[in-house]
This record gives sequence, C-alpha cells and structure tokens, in this order.
Amino acid sequence: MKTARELLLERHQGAEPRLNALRQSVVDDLARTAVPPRHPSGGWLAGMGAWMSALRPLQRQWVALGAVWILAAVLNHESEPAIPAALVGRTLPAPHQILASLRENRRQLSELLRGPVPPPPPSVPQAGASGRRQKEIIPVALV
Amino acid sequence: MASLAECEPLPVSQARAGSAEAWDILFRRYQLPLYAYVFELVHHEQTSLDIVQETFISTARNLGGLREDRKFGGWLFGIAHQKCIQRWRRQGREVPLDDEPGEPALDGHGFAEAPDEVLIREEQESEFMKLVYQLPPLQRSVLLLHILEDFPLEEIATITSAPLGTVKSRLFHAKKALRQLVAQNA
Repeated sequence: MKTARELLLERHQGAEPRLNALRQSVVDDLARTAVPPRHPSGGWLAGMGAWMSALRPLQRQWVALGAVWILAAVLNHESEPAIPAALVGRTLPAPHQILASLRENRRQLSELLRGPVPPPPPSVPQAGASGRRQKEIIPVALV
Repeated sequence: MASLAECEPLPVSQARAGSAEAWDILFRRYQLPLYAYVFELVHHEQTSLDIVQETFISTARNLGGLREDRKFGGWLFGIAHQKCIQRWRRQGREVPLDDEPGEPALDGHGFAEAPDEVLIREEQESEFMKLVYQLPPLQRSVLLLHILEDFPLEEIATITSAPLGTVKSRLFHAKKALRQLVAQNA
C-alpha cells in the first residue's frame, strides 16, 4: 500500500538524474552571476557600506587631509582683519551727506588747482538755444 | 494539518542573500514534486524539464517579490502553474475554466482527510494514474497540489489563481472520483 504522493513521486523517479543535472546547471549559473540582492529598506545602508569600504584603505590620507583642513581653519580665523576700535559703535553717514561731502571736496580741489571757479550761470531753457550754441562753438573748436 | 512545505525549515533567507548552497537545498527539495506536477499537466518529458528549469530561473530572479518565506513552496508551484498555462495557450489549447459539473456544499465535508490517509493498493496504481489523467486539467491541478504538497486550500487558490470556492469544488469532485476508485477495488 502506498500513499498517492509516494505513488506519484515513484512514477517520476526516473527523471531524477536529469533533474539533478538541471538543478546543478541553474545553481552553477547563480553562483557565477551572484549579485547580493538589495534589500528595499536597506538601500541607503548598503550604499553607505560601499562608500565606507571604498574609503577605508585611505585612512592615513583622510586623517592628514583633516589635519590640514583644521590648520587652515585656525589660521584663517586668526588672520581676519580686526575692526578699528574708533569705528566700533559709529554709524555710517547717510548717502546724501556722503554726496554733499564729495561735492565739497571736489570744489575745494578745483579751487586749489585753477583758482576760484565762477558759479555756473543759471540755465534758462530757450527755444533754439542749443542750435545757436552749436554754431558758435564749431569755429572755436576748429581754431 | 500543516502542509509538507511548512514542516521543514527552508533556507529561503540565505538564498535571498545569494547563497548558491541555499538555492541547491531549495531546488533539491522541490525538484521531483514540481516535475511530477508539471508532467501530470503537460504529459511531455522534455517540456516538463524545460518548465522546471524556467521555474527555477524565474524563482531565483524574483525571490525579492516573495513576502513570506514560509510560502516559498506555494510560490514556486504558482510560477510553474503559470508556465504550464502559457504552454497550453502557446500550443493553441484552451484552458478549460468550467470543468466541474456543479458547486458542492462548501462546508468542508468530503475533503477533510489528508492525502496520506488515502492508501492505494499495488493493483490500483495504474487505475489511479488513469483516473488522474482523465480528470479535467484544472481539477487535476488542484488534486495534484493537494496530494503532492498538501497545500492548504487558500494556498492552492493562490497557486492556481482561482477563487477559493472553485478550488473547493474542484478538489471535491476529484476526491470523489478517487474515493469511488478505492471503493470499487476494496
């Protein structure tokens, strides 16, 4: 007496050698092309691991680079120009004051170089004035 | 009763990690029942071997899609089942969908016994195989999954992509025929 399972398996036992060969070839292929499958939730961990394993052989170089970086940071901090004490607490003048001061400086400089500069005549716009002025200026320019 | 597949711890996680040895254990465990299942559906030796090989390769490629390791066996048979159906379609054979005469009462009566409880005498063996062969393909498929691996009905439904009620009906009719055979020769 046999169970139905035993009967079915016995009936196909003759195929075992071919099944063994088939299994062996599939397993061999798997071993040759074995790529560790990525776990869906551990993808970034696997990436980190790969980075770490790539960087690990360069430990000394990374330590040296770190030391140089720290030294550069310290030197940079020390060489920063200090703000003069006289300027601390003073507020910058308003832009119109700076402009007025510049005009005054320019006027004084002109006075020193050429003597007193007459104030510019009041400009009254006249019709055709620019055309006449051009005519007067041109011969002077030629001389 | 637990299915045969559930009784044994299988190295599915090791296979997932890429262990060729684990794959060898898994394939060795299932190669003969899987071949028997496929052969009894397609009745061609070389085609059956091709389907088993394709199933193994597909399993190795897609193991990431398996959510529960303990269902590895059912998943493997499911892939093989789909490949059998593809072959039928490629050969222009229609897959019979309504192969049972009617729905039985779905109270579990009639298929409560485990496959190992049905014993076949030596003189009944050829009759039994003839009976299996004469069953409509999808009834045969359900009976084979029940006999070979003692899969639970829900798992057979998943493997064969059929509703649970249909699976119950198919198994009911297949086992009814089997019981008649055993009673005839008792």
